[in-house]
Amino acid sequence: MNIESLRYYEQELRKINLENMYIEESIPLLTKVDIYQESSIERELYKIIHEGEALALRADFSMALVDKVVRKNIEFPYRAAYYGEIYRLDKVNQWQVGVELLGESSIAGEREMLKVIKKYIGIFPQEEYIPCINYMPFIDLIIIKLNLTSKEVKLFKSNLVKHNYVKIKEVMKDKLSYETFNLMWSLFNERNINKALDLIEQLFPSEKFSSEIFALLKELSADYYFDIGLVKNLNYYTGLVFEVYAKGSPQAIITGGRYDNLAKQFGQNISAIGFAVDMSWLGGYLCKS
Amino acid sequence: MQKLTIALPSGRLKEECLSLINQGNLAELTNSRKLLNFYDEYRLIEVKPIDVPVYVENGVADCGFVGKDILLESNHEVYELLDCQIGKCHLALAQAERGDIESIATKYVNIAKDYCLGNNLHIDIIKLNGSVELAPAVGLANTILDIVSTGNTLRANNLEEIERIMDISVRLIVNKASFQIKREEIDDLVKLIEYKEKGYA
Repeated sequence: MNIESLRYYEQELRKINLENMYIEESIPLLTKVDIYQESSIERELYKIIHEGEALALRADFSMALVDKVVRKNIEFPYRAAYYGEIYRLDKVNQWQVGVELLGESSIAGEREMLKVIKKYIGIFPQEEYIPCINYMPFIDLIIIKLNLTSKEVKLFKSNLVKHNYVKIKEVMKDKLSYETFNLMWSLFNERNINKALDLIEQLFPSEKFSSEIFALLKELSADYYFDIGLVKNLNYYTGLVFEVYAKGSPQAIITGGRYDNLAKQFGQNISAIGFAVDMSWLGGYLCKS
Repeated sequence: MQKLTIALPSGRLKEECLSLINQGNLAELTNSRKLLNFYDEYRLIEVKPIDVPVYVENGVADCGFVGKDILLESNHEVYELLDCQIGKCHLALAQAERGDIESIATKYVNIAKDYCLGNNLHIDIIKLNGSVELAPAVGLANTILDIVSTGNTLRANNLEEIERIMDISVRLIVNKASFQIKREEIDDLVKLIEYKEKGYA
């Protein structure tokens, strides 16, 4: 891997963070195990016991950062940036650069994130980029419509993460009328944001959706693809979620979204939105080129 | 249109998988010893069944055909789009003489662990790479967990199926990035397989 080139890109991304007023936070390599307890990555931690305290190698920047910030006396909105590696069992270490906007609950948070993502992509090699988007409350509505038990909800979400269309289709066929099933299945296959929103309105006619979110999604329809199956493995996401794919990378190069529930596990009510770029794809890309 | 790279499992499932994407004469491809073939709009790579999800997860192949047993055991980050309705069999527990499960010999350690967890069994699970049916006869374990297709191998080794764990079939799996980048081609492949499944061609 061409480390020099990677460092160059890392520096450029950090410059973008700084230009956009994101302050770099230093996140320790060893973090308390407790901060990951509510999340699905708890089983993927490298754990050690030090002087009777359970510690883990940093496995997620957002959780570690929110844990740090909630204990500070700071003014919101607060813009934080980070870079470095995260470590998870059985996974290749991920080298990430990212930002978090804390305490901004309005749609301005989403707009700001999407602007920064555009700037990030602007410095990457000229490749084909496919940005995808979803809105987590749509998933909540689907789950309500399916009338699932809490055990089934867990399974359904895990099948969504894996895009296990075999199981998803099976559950939907079992729980919905023929007409509703067809509408919902169309939603799973729809990539155009405007058409997907039409389907959402047909599926949930009495639901009052945020007009701001709908307006933003419609604005994004020229650049972003809709994917109702875009559901994060981490259970703290609450609003808009997004991923960017690049030709030549086997995984998403940028992932993020709104996660207003994360700070609650640390006893605070702070809205948050953020994203990270996975630098490892860039390493692979530079190697090939 | 972009060319899709498809990982095919070598061995007994190869021909059946090829028939799903076939639009012409299969004989040449089925008998080919070449591990990389170009066929219509596909680039086909032939790999060991257990490696199919590895190739797909890492994006070397856009998609692949793999048994559900391998998917469950390996837990790779791939999308599972379709049950291809081929390679049907099931996972089962078998014993020489019906009795309590004291230990399990299997290739599927993770599936066995999940089974034990779900049934509150605290027993030894012994990992084997083949000839699992031998384990009870030589006293390695009193139970095996393995794929059962016709049941002939079990009978030949004086074993009796005591519990059906789950049905298995071949699944179409897709790389996460390919799902977004080559969506049109993947949708076409899904439609083609569904069309074949229904017996239209």
